[in-house]
Amino acid sequence: MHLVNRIKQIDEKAINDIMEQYGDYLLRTAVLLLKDYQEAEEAVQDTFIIAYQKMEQLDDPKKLKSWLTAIMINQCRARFRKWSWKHVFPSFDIINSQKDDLNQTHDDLLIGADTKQNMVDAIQQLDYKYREVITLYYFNEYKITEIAVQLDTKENTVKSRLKRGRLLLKDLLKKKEDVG
Amino acid sequence: MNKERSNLKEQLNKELNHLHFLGQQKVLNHIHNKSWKQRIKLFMNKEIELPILPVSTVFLLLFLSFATKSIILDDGLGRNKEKILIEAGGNVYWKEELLKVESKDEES
Repeated sequence: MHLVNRIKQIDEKAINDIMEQYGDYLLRTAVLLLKDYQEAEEAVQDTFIIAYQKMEQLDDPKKLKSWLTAIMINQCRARFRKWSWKHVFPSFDIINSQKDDLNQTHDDLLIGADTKQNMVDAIQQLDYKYREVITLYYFNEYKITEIAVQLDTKENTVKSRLKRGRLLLKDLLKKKEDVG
Repeated sequence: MNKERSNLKEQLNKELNHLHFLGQQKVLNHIHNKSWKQRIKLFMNKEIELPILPVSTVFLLLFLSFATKSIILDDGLGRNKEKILIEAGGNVYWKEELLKVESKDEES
């Protein structure tokens, strides 16, 4: 039986299997979009919770991956907006969490492990609207028509953002090379 | 273009492949810990079957017991006794009321 049908029959092992199958993929996308491991993981957790609660709405089980991605994109957008406000008016919670981050967090995973983070860093430096399109096109390997559907926008908008994003990305990578 | 795309994808995979989703348990905990609102909704949506004969018999017995009790009480207190009208000094009074007034007068 397909995972979606199993979840509809409240098979809890099915949600585990879905997390196993798509967890890393969604997390990596969310990290590219949100630039923060903790925020990204929470966005992915919420994605799975929403998916579990609204599984009835998914008519075609074959669309599970793109459906999960759509939920995750909305979660990231919501968090990005909140994130921006948090930085304008930092609360005590954020200050405390930043102190905790200084001690030991998952950020170490991102920066550490001697991996070159050039491309990830460059994408994360783009404005959100370019970052979103570039991530979906290059990392998630969506077609332009699919991105337009996912982002509920026009194909021409996607094309122009992709073009502009690509140019900005090249500039950023060139600057990195020059500095390096 | 396609080569550029696949190269970039490969590069991103390399840079991100050390990241793994570790929040499975939190998701499962959240799914298990249903909110009060959800619990009430579940309770309200629960189907229950009531056997009509025993339930209606119980209601009938309760109704009958209350009805007979109230009749017995009425008789005991004499609330339903007929009131008698009497004539005194050209006016008509309830006998009960007149007796009360007379007893008060005697006391004073």
